[in-house]
Amino acid sequence: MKIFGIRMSSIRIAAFGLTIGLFSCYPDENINVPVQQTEVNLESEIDQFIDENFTQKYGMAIRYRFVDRFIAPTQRVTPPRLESVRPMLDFIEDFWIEPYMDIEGGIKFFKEHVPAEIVLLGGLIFNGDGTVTLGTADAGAQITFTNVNSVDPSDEDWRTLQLQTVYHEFAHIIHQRYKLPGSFETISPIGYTSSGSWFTLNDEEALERGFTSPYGTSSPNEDFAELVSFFLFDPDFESNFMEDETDCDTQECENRNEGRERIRQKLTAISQHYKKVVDIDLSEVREAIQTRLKAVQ
Amino acid sequence: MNRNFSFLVLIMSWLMWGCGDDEPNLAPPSERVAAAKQELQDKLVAPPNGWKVEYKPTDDSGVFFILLDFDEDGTVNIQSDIPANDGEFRNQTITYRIDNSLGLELVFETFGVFHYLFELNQSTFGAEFEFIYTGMEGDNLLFKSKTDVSDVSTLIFELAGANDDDLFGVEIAQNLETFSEIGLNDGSTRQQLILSDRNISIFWSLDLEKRNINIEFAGIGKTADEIITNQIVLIDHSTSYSFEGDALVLAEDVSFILNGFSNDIAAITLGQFESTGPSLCNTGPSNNPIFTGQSPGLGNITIQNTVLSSSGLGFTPDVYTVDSFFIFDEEGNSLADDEEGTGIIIENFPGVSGFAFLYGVELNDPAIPIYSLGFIMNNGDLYFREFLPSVTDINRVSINLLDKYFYRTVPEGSPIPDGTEEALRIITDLMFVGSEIYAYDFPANGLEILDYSIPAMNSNSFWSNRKVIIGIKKPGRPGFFISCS
Repeated sequence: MKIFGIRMSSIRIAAFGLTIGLFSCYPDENINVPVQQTEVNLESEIDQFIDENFTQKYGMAIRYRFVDRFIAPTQRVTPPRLESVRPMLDFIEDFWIEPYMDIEGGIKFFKEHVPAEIVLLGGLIFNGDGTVTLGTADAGAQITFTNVNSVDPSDEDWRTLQLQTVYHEFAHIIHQRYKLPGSFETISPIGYTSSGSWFTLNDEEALERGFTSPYGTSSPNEDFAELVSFFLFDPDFESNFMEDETDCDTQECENRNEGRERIRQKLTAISQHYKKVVDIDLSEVREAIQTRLKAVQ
Repeated sequence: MNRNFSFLVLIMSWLMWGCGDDEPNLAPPSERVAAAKQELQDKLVAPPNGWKVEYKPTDDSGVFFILLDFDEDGTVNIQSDIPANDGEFRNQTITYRIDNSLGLELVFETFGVFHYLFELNQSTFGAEFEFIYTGMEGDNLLFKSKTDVSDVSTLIFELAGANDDDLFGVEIAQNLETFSEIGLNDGSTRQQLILSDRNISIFWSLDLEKRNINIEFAGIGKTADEIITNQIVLIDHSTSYSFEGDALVLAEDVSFILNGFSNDIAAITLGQFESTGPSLCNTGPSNNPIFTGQSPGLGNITIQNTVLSSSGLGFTPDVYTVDSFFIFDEEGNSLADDEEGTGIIIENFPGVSGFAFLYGVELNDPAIPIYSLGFIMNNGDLYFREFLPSVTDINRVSINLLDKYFYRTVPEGSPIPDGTEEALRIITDLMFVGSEIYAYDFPANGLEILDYSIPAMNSNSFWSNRKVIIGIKKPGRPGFFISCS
């Protein structure tokens, strides 16, 4: 025990001495050195465009140059092509920003709620467990678009992926700031799946439970975001999710109609919530988006 | 106590020496980092012809030849010998950044050739686009991968010469790409390399994306019939390759003795490329790619597509089954598309589940012949047709269908639907009569289902421009493939 005590003292002294020494060698500096450089070179045409049309206008930083903090260490993804950035920005402006500019109160709402950072990634995010992530949002501060290298607004699959992602992620900001509509979770109380098992459902099973997609069953927050997203981008939302099938003669048909009734209730709750907390009429947003979508279809 | 005191004096002496008046105080880290970054950028932009890199992303991959010309404005012009994406990576300018986190880093910020390689195999290939600067060796700049977890790739930036782009084997790489459009679409390009002066053919499969090659076997002759009839020698030699000008260079030579010759292949030089090569199927037009050239010490050579492959040697007695959806017509349409309800199989056998090929194996029901093929129904019914035992030559399988039909119904003794036998005869004739059949070890293609975050799912997804394609999944193995032409 004694020997051990002497050795410990020596180590403490040495550590103390080293600490003194380190401070004495660098008396005036700040050791909090930024380890990542993300400054934008405003000399390039695309950076000037971003600065004028997004940063100054809406306070949005557009990140298209790869920085590995955008993804988790176990994720793998590539940055966008330089040539794909401008078309992607045009798409974002046309189908995400402009619809809000078209409606009453939309400009104020958008500027006050838009995430500070938009990240553009070239491909899909491949996760370490073999899954693929299509888009992410980070606590209302960041929205990430993937698959930008395939930018083609006339491609329905690509367009749907991007719009579904951005409307979904932008909807998260509402419940993150203002909570979910009151009693929202009670509309489909037994419809939610256990953790990590939502993908065992198909679309019809999700509808029977009162959800617009299987992913919506994963939690009330995702249910909220999925429903808003489908309502805004799906041109057939009414026939798919609102209007009951007539002359039902099977249990499955009855179940689907019961699901639609729950979706109607949830949409009413969500619409009232948007009107109450941010003074936005979601139907007007949908109308503005659908008008623009029809122009490219 | 004395020992402790001595130790303290030693430490303090060392610290005082380290901060002596003759040593100027170091600049703050931020300034030193900025200086280090500037110093590396100065090195990168200095050479008049830029840098030359022979990039080998993984131990298993071949070499990709890349030229880099850095500019002070944060852009870099990159030339490469990769013909993919209609030549996008032959010559392009992207942005780069010198950063620091794990050390000084060179990050290629926007999509280019490094990212293309990174994305191969759903981003599992092992390439990278973020590098850590590790120093200089002579005039060379040394980097290592930032993202490799093991077997970390290293890159050597060598000073480029004014005419180094002459070394690019772009044309040969582009022409070889056309061979990949013919065949099984299983990720490999199977070719027959004919040593014309020696009447020897070498059969290999190329992975054109990763630049590695498996030399499967060699035989005597030029036609499939000659190869099958004569002696063959199994080689099974895998190596990577690179392009140098108009030559394909193997990283490791391949040697074998056949037809009285000792054959050693280190490189092949390819010149004449035409679209007059023989069809894979005897009945098709001769419009496939064909490449001619020379190999040092071996004389004239010809490269063409082939259906012969030693990967079919494992086609041995077993039960082979596949989901009936994966039987396609020449247009690639499923003959049993259960979602659409279309296709001759689903139309004649509603409720069909799978296709089975009994190759010398007895089922639990001994009434079903050990050499028979047919359909498995959802309710457990079996509709089978017998064929004569056949011999497999390399991977060519011969089938002689008999007009003998066998059934097992559930419950036992239940009647089979009217017309079943006639439909079974017509469909199996369509699939096998008058066809050459080749068996391959066919790795199942991984297919990612794209959704917010959904687990990967596997699917056999086959393609062909030929008459009927059947993917047969063998229990416990990736699968086999039979093509009928």
